[in-house]
Amino acid sequence: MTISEAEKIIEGLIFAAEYPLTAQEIADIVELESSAVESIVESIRARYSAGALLIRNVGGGYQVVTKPELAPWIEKLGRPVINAPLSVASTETLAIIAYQQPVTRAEIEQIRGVRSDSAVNSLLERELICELGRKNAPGRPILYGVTEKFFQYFGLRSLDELPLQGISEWK
Amino acid sequence: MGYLIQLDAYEGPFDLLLDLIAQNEIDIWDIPIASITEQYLEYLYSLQEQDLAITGEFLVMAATLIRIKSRLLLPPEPVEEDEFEDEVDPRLELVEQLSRYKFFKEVASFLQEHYSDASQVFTRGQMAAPLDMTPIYTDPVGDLTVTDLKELYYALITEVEKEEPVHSIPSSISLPERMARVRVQMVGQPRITFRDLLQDSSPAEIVVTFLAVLELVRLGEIAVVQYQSCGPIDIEPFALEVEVQ
Repeated sequence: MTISEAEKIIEGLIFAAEYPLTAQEIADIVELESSAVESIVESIRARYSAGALLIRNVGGGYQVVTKPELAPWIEKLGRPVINAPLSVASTETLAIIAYQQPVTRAEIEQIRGVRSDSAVNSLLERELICELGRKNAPGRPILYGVTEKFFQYFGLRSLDELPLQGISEWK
Repeated sequence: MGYLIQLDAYEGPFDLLLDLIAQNEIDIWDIPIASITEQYLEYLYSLQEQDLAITGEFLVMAATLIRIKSRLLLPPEPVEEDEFEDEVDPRLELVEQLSRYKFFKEVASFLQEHYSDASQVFTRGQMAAPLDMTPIYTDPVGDLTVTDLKELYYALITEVEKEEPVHSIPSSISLPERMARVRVQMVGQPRITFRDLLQDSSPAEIVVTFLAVLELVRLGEIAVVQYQSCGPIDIEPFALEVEVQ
């Protein structure tokens, strides 16, 4: 397989996958080192620079998306399926889950100082969080964590992108 | 000393306290409890004045603030000599909770900024077919006001409340007869309403009158117009001008 053949295959894989494809997943399919996959993705990106699409890193994988400057036109196409903005309560709850996962609802409520059941339910409904089993504590409360969709929704590569400042103050 | 209290919607007592701290430009690690407590309670009172419900969490925090305030006022308990326990600042636990909440609040706004960027790019299949937003009802009420509704209601009620006659002779009425009566009532009138035809009618008579009107429309003798849904039905002699042309 030549480099240009590999480039076509990788482009096709990223395009066809419905979820962000990691370099390792691609590497396993095309039988190359994942570092080679990464540099090939870079050359696809260079080729895309003049076009309508870009490959973004999200949740540790690659995903083909339209360029931000096209948003006003694409929005005229219809309604986005997942993209309605979250309430402040839901965003705060989600921030706590992202850092503290696996975390119970009672732990979230202790940090926020208010009941958070409706925020948790709406996040579950939007599949931004999921249940991660139950805590070995009285009442065996449900533990929550963020999902793949969380990364897509905010366009984050990984949890490492979240701000760290201030953590030492309370941890 | 007056306080300017913004009536923003707070996510909870921590949110309110952080806002008071920001407004007073004070250090979170050295909160003047007395003044903050006063402002906090002031806010709760202002909610009460507006008849807004104060949730339990806000009241618990009020109690916590008052407890801390009173502990600060009391002289420190005498410490036995060999114990070298540090005097713990009664504010410490609250301040730790506040700074922890503050951190997550900041993360939440970080996430919201990321969202506004991320919401500008689209993957395939992310756009659903546009919803058909054609309204099912085309303004059934129209320009009706509450007063109109009241008048209509009274008009109906007065009809319903009419006393039943002690004796009655059932009268039957045929369609041709009723059509004739409509024609008579139309004479010399530019327009009458359907209701005018229904004076003292029984339900059966209303039905026959309605059928008579329909029949007259079919024969091209009259035209009916209803300008708004559920509004009065106007009956006019069929517009002759059209035939003249």
